[in-house]
This record gives sequence, C-alpha cells and structure tokens, in this order.
Amino acid sequence: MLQVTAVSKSFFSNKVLDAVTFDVRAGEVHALVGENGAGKSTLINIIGGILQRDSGTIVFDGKEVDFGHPLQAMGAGISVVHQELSLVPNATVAENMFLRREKRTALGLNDWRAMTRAAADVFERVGIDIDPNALVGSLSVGMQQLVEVAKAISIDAKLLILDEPTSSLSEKEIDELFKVINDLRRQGLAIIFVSHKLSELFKIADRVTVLRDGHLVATAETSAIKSEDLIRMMVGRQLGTLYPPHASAIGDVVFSCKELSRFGAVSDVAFDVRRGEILGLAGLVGAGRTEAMRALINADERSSGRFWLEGDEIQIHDPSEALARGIVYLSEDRKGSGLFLSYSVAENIGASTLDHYADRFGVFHFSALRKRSREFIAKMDIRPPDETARVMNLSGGNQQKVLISKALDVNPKLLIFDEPTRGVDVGAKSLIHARLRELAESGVGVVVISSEMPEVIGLSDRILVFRNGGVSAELMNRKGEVSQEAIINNAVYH
Amino acid sequence: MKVLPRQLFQNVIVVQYVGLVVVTLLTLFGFQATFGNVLTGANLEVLAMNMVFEGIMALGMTFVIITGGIDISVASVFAFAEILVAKLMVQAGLDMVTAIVITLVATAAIGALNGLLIVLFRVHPMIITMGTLLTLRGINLAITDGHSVSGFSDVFLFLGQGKILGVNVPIVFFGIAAIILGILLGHHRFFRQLYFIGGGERAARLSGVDVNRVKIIIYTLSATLAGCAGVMAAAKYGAAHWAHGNLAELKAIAAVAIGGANINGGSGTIGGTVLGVIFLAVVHNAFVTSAVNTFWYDVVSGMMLLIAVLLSRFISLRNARALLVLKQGKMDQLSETYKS
Repeated sequence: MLQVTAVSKSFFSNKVLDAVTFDVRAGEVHALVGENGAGKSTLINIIGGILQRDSGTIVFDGKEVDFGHPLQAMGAGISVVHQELSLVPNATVAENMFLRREKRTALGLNDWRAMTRAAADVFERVGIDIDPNALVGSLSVGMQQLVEVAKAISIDAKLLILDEPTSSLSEKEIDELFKVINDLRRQGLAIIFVSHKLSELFKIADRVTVLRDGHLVATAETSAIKSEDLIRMMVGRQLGTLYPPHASAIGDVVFSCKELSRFGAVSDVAFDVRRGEILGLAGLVGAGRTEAMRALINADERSSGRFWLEGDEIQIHDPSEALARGIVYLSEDRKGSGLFLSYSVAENIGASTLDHYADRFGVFHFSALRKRSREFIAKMDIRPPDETARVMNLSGGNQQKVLISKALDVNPKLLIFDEPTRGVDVGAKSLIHARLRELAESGVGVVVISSEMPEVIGLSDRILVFRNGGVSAELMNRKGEVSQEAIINNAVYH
Repeated sequence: MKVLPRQLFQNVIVVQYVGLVVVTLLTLFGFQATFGNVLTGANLEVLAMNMVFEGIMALGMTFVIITGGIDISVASVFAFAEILVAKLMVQAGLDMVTAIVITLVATAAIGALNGLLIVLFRVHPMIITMGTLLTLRGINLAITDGHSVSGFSDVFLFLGQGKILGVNVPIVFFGIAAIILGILLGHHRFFRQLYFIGGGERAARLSGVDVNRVKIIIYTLSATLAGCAGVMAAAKYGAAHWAHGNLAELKAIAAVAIGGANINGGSGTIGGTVLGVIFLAVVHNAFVTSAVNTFWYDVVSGMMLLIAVLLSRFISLRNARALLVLKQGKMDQLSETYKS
C-alpha cells in the first residue's frame, strides 16, 4: 500500500531522517518505534503531507506521490491521528468529524441531519457507541480518541497513521481502541502505529520498524522478535536491567495521610510513605490516583484529610504551603503545569527556589543559579548540556529531567511524581528510574503514579491499587504480592 | 466517565440569554411604568438609532471574537468611512454610488491589512488593530483639519435619515445583516470554521482549516461592516466628523461579551450579540428619558458587563459542582453494590 524509499530530511544542518526505507501492506498494522528524536514524527509528518522530504520517493497505492499539504494526503486516502487531539470541545462530534467536508443542503448551508447520519454510519462501521450530536467536550479522552479514529477513516482512508494513540488512555479504553483497530485491519486498511509502549506493539502489530537517530535499524515480524531485542535496537545497547534494584532497607515513616477525600473523586484514602522505599500508585485512569495527590496538596479542594510529616501533624492549605514544607507534587502535565517552556533550563530549575539565589538584600544572583543548574545538568544528564537553552527546545525526556531537577532543588521530604516517564524515550526513562531510586535511598519519601503497569511494578517496593476513588489493595513487593494480575484484579470490579 | 447530559454545557448560554432578555424587559417596563415615556414610537426610534452603528460593528466583532481575536480599529474605520465618502462626493464631486463603492473597498482593504499583519507577523490582534486605530484617527484629523465635511444630496441623506416601511434605513440594514450573518454563522461551513479556530487553532490547522485565510477574511468583514456603518452615519448626521464613533469599539465589544461570547474565543452567536446591543441601547435610553443623570450610563453598562461575565462563570462553576455530585453518587452506588 505504501512504499517509502530512501527518504531523507534535514532541518537546517541537522539530519533527522537519513535514507529511511520501509513499507506498509494493506490489512496490516505496522508499528513504528524508536526513542524520542529517532525521526518517527518526522517520517509520519512527511507521509501525511505536513512536512516535505528532501530526497527519496514515496509510492502510495501504486502511484508516486509528493504531497505539499495535509489536504492532498487526505484526498489520496492518508489520514493521520496526531498525538494531541485535534477536536474542538464546543462543537458536536458530527461537526468535528466533517470539518472542511461538510454536507450541504441545496442552499449551501450545513446539513446537520445528513452529517449526524453519516457520523452514525461510520460509528456503526467501526463498532463504537457514541452520540454524533454530543459535544466533544462532554466525552472522555478515550472516547475523543475514538472519534479521532472515526474522523480519520471517514475520508475513505486507505492508510491510517496513529501517533501514540494510547498515551492518555486507560487500559479499558485501549482495549476498545484495539478492537476498532483490529476491525479496520480486517477491512483491509493499512495502519501505522507509533508507540512507546512495547507491550502494546506485541498485542496489536504485525510488523515493527525500528528507527534510531534518523536511520532505519530494522523491520521485523512481531512474532519473530522479543521485547529485549527491540529495546536493544532502539537504544543501540543492551540495558542490563530495565529497572534499578528494589529497596535494600526500609526505614521509618516519613509522611502519612488519613481520611483524604475529595467530593466526587476520592474517598477516604490513607497511606504511609517510608524512608528508602518507592510507593507506587496503580489503577485505571480515573480511579482517583492523580485526584488524591492533587487533593493532598489542596490543588483541588479536598473535603477532608489529615497529614503527618516526620511525626508531626501538619496543615496543608494550598500547594505553596505544601512546597514550603518540602512536599513536592510533579504533575503529569509537565508542559501545562510543570515547566515554563519559553524560559531557560536554569530559570526553570530555580523557579520554586528563587530565595536560595538571593542575598540578604534580596538581590538575585543569576550566576549562583547557573552554577547550581550546571550541577543538575551533569547529574541528570540533561541534553544539550546548556543551562541557557530554552526548555521548549528540549526533547520530552530532557524536559522531564529539568522538571525533576526543579523539584530536587527544593530539597523535598516527600516527592510525588505523576507519570514520571510519559512520552519519554527509553534511555531517559532508565535514568529517571535510577535517580528516583537514589532519591528514595537518600531518605526522601517517593510516591510514583504510573499508568504503565511494568513501570509501576518494576519501580515500586509497595503498591497501592486505586479503584473507584479509594485504595482497594496494598501489595508488598518484598512479600511477592506484586504481579500484573494482582493489580488488575484489584483495579477493576469483577 | 460516561457522556454527560448535554444541557449541563448548553444551559450556560441559555440562562445568559434568558437573563439578558428579562433584565432588558424589566428595564424597559420599569422605566415605562415610572416615567411613561419610554414605549412611544418616537422614543423607540431614538433608542434604536442610538446604538445601531455600534450594533453593526458588533456583528463583525462577533466573528473576530469567536476566532479568539479582537478588532479595536473599527471606530476609526467608521469615522474614516464617513470622511472618505463625504470628501469623495462633496469635494471630488463623484456620484453617490461610486463614492460609496470606493469607500467600502477602502475600508475592506484596511481590514484585509489588519488581518494580513496579524497572520504574517503573529502579533496579537489587539496591538495591530490599536496601531490601525491610532494611525487612522490621525489621518482622519489631518485630512479634515478637525473640521466636519457636509453638503450632501437628499438621495444620500436617505441612507441615514430615510425610512423603509416606517423603519429607519440603518436599522433595516442592521436587521437584515444580523439575520443573514446569523444564519451563515450558524449553518455555513465557512463561518463554522471560526469556532474551530477559536477553540483550538493548532487543531484547526491540522484538520485542514486555512486559518490565515479565514482570519484575513474575518477582519476584512469587520472593517467593511464598520465602513457601511460609517457611510450611513454620515447620512444620518448630515456631516462627517473625525470624532464620530469615538469609543464605539468598546461598546461593540461590550455588546458581544454581554451577549455571551467568550473573549478568549470559541463561543458566541449573532443572536447573543443582538441581545447585547438591544440591552445596551435600552439601558442608555432609560437614562436619557428618565431624570437620572446620563453620566451614570457608563456605570450601568460597565456593571452589566461584569455581571454577565460573572454569571457565566457562576453557572459553569455550578455545573462543575453538579458534575461532582453525579460522580460521587456513581462512586457510592458502585461501592454499595460490591460491598458484599
């Protein structure tokens, strides 16, 4: 269906794609993997007509093509579902689906009924149950993702490109999405599937192509390859162990919380965090993990909650008070509520600790902050190693490292990290894991929320499973209680 | 989370419309009952004519605000149109139709320039249109030396003072424009794109919306509507003067905001804007016809603007709370079911 031959692309003098060749057949799901910056996005943007290649050929559906605009690619039958949702919340599902392809009445006005009907037809074809007249803003993220897919295939797509479609979906929503993908594959669509989650590839893809630093590493049948091989191809080296060793010694309680509730989201959560251990919070998206941690620092108003830090009962009225006491919450939304994207690495690292760099007259000493930032850059292996680089120009993994540095500069007593490695490449991921482990060893209480099952299992010494706003189980790694089955068992109602 | 009831999202706007109509009617009948001279034919005409030019500008402003932009240059475009059409007829001796056509083309070009600068240089529309506002006001002053231009033919004066079926021409224009633009905004594919741009520009771009082109057209439309208003205003006053329409942009923006549009883009309707215009006209008129000091008018319209904004905020907060109650109920139900 699609044959890409020796396609190259440079941005300025930086070669991001170097003679990449690969093909996708009709009726196959072809996974595209690689670290961040490997060139996956560039490649799919070229196929989708958003970027133009410098050299090489692309043959689609038997014809050589050269798209100058996404609309041309769409016209030819190539649909891209981007990582960020492209739907407008204030419009209905049907209107979103038929944007720029509206059905018209004789007067040239929009024929809402015909559009509703056409949307319903597409939904029926892919087996999704969504009201075409619902406002997109009223749907969950998972539903919106399915609307995106429906929109993409409604142009009679022959090739569907999904860029990290599962990054914000719960397990159940992923299953739903995979059901739809399987259906489309049976109908003969060619599908390119980009993902960081290797376990997903093995579930859904027929073949997988690995890119590294803009080069093609290999294309292989999914059935003939193992997860470790893929990782080795992606990073170019064997990762000894994927996760750092578990805690050697677990000490006394650093922080405890009781009766934590937020009306409508969290009910009566209690837990302790001990020195030396990493506490993992597992559960489906929407089970109340993030909500509980946000309620803890009162970022969302809680209805009740009592807290003890190092044995003393404390009040936490708002996030800044939490920060002052050494309780740091790192949001899963690093771009929106974690980092100042247009500021430099140094300014971001010192954002919560401006006082540390001012003398007693209040004069701010930027040189001190820069010096401190260089220490963090070395310790966290932030690339490029330049404290004046703007954070928006860093890759996802390096942004996350800056975010951690910012938190560490506070000298936290309790660090709560929501999705520490979302959208982060494999190399940065293991570095972040190792630093979190070191942090726990040094006596800081570490709480990690992760929707990635292997991560939460690999990283945590103890796991709290959330379900329906409360804690449904506590699993100790030491006692061998932790397993995927145990977590899922407690995350869902049977 | 399943699909929420749609009315949770939609009654924000409905409540605002109903509230606006009720307050408007209360003001109208309240002052009628007290002073008895509001609901007379002559007064209603004054009432309507008082806001009609701002109203016409508010129609274009609605489009601009839905895309997340703003156009504060309309007031000086309005005065420029007055002066240009007057000079073309009185001093250049052109016939009426040619003069009007040239004027509207000129104002359209100003709008296109606004749009072009905004999309080319990605500068905030506030700054670009402020530049146009000041530049054009200076030009208006300079080319008239601060004097007014007058001496129009009776045919031209009809455009501002004449009546069609007993209704003043500018009001007829406003009504027809509102109906046509309202239908287009609600149901035409070009105008539906405005909501997508205002709701998420990047997403709109990726979905194939030619954002730049749409924006340029919308700013052109906004300036052209201001130009139409300016031509009719010259006819209404029988003279063109640079100070006419001063601060009209603020009234136009206020009408759009009171009419329920989010100033950050993504929402707003022509119907809402018309209600906003009527409201401002009624309140203003109530002050004029009553014995109350007219200077208080701005205080009331300012407060109404704040109330409108706070109301929509209040309703969305209430909806958020209703949502929480719904979720808590579901949570409780679920844990009850599985307790055993």
